[in-house]
Amino acid sequence: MLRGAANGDRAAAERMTLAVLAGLLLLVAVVAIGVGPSGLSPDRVVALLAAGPGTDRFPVSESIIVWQIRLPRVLMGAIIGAALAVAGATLQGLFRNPLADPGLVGVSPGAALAAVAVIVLGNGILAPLVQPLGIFALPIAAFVGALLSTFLLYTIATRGGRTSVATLLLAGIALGAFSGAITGFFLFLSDDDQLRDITFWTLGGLGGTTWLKLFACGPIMLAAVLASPVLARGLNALTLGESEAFHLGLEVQRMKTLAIVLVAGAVGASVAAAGIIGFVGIIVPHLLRLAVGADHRFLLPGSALLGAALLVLADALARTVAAPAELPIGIITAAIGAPFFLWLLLRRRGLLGV
Amino acid sequence: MLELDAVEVLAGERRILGPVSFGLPAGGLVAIVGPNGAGKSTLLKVLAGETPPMGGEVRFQGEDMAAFSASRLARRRAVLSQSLEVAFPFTVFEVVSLGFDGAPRALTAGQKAARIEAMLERVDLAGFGSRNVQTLSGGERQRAHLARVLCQIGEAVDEEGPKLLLLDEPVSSLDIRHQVDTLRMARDFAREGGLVVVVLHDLNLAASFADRMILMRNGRIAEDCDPAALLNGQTVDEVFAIAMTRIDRGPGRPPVVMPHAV
Ligand SMILES: Nc1ncnc2c1ncn2[C@@H]1O[C@H](COP(=O)(O)OP(=O)(O)OP(=O)(O)O)[C@@H](O)[C@H]1O
Ligand SMILES: [Mg+2]
Repeated sequence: MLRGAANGDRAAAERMTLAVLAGLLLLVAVVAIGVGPSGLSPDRVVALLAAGPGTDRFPVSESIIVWQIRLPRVLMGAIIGAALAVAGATLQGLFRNPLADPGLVGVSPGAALAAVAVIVLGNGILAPLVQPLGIFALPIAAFVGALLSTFLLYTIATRGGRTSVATLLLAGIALGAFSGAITGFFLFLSDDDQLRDITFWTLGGLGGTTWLKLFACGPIMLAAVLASPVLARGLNALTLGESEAFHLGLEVQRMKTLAIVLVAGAVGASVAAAGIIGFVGIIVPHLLRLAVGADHRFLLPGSALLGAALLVLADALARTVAAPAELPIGIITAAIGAPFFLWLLLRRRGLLGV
Repeated sequence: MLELDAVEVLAGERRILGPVSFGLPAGGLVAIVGPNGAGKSTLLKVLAGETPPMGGEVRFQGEDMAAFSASRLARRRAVLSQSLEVAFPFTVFEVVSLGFDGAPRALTAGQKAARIEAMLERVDLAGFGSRNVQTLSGGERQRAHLARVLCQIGEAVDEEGPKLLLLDEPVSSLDIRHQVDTLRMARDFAREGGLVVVVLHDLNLAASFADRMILMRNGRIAEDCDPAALLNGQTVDEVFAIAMTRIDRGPGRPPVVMPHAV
């Protein structure tokens, strides 16, 4: 028996959950803006936000902390969390498997590789490509890297319209390792400055987020998140398999292409902004399916909201746990996510009785 | 309503279907029988518009099947496949409601819910709406998918004409009573003017409900006639490579066939 109305229609409970999650996100965001050295109470944060930037009703230092440092960072965290969780839910729907995750299946490493290539070769061979793109070079490169990895992975794991999950996970690991190897090679080629930048990519972090960076990477992720509901009905139908999705009236190939582009955009831009942040894409949709429902019309927006709230929270932890130093956020999500993933595997093993 | 002209399907080098040619008028229930691997499911996929024939032509309601978009087809035909797996923990209600999602109709959420509940009752799954579909028994799951397919197809005939219902071994997991119930529903659909094509392994069940039977062998049509003629003839024994005993049930009715006891 699954929770929800007695007739099995969970739409009402799902709408309610979305409202609650939206409230949760707002709450977490306000608290997170207040957290850090020179902490601010939530009502002070709200007052500072309401006063607008450059106000003279509050101390300039507080206004700058909120408007120039914490707000772009929290917004970036929220957008990245939303994008990763939506990308996870979409990949899982596409592969018909709850264990697909952009980080696990090699999409994020592919994006990171492209980003690192731009860092190292941006003043060298790639200069003619990178220079004209300016600050957009990184997000675009990461997007292309993610797109290529997703496409490659899908082609390898799919045969005769059916995607083999074992092949998918193994190919993802291989693809990730290969991307990692080439990234390592770039590491070898890089100078000290580039090395520091690269280390940052591989660990993942929101430190140093500026409005400029938010404007360079945010729109792609936001577009992916906002476009995702278009896929919901298609992913629902795909739950029964590709043939059934076609029988139900879906242009399957078109929607698969759209889903791949969406995942690549969301993951690529998130990697460009903050490096690899693992496990958000797997935990969030899974929790929602377990607790509320698997209908993608709920799961996609729900993942966006919960993913955003979780990443903002993880970033707040990253800023405070080792204060005054900052932990890379990727460490926090991996420290929470990896045991959760293991628990998930064990639970599935238990269910299958093997 | 459905015409096949020299249709062929290849898998690599091997021809797994055809050439087959026949026409199926609306208002009938056609049973397809034949040994494992004879090409029944392949034929059904061609009729569904899912597998485009590599040779020949399929015409559906006077138009080339290839000209139909997926969504237009979904409003005119529904398919119950031979094997089905649901990847995520959907409720039975949600699975059945997918029948409405693919080809959107102007129905309110309340109307949909009422129809879904009525349909679950028709397939004898009243009260199963909130169950996780992944935990149903094989037969229950098969009936839940039947409910989904019936929700998708709706009335047998609408202003655009008769509709097509394709069922690939819809009773393979069902107990004897639910087998009969399911085929009754299929026959009702045909009586109301729609066309039903159903793949079955039970020759006697097929003969009791079908208006016409197509016997397949190695991707070709071995026999295409009414049930009594098929079961009285010797082609069945040859195609299935087993001698049959026939129990006569009187003139005009197909005999009951059973393989010789060893
Ligand atoms: N994609 C494919 N590649 C290779 N061979 C295929 C493919 N699809 C079907 N076949 C082969 O074509 C033949 C017909 O398959 P089909 O599924 O139509 O049989 P069927 O009559 O439905 O059998 P069953 O009674 O077992 O369901 C089989 O020999 C099968 O192995
Ligand atoms: Mg078959």
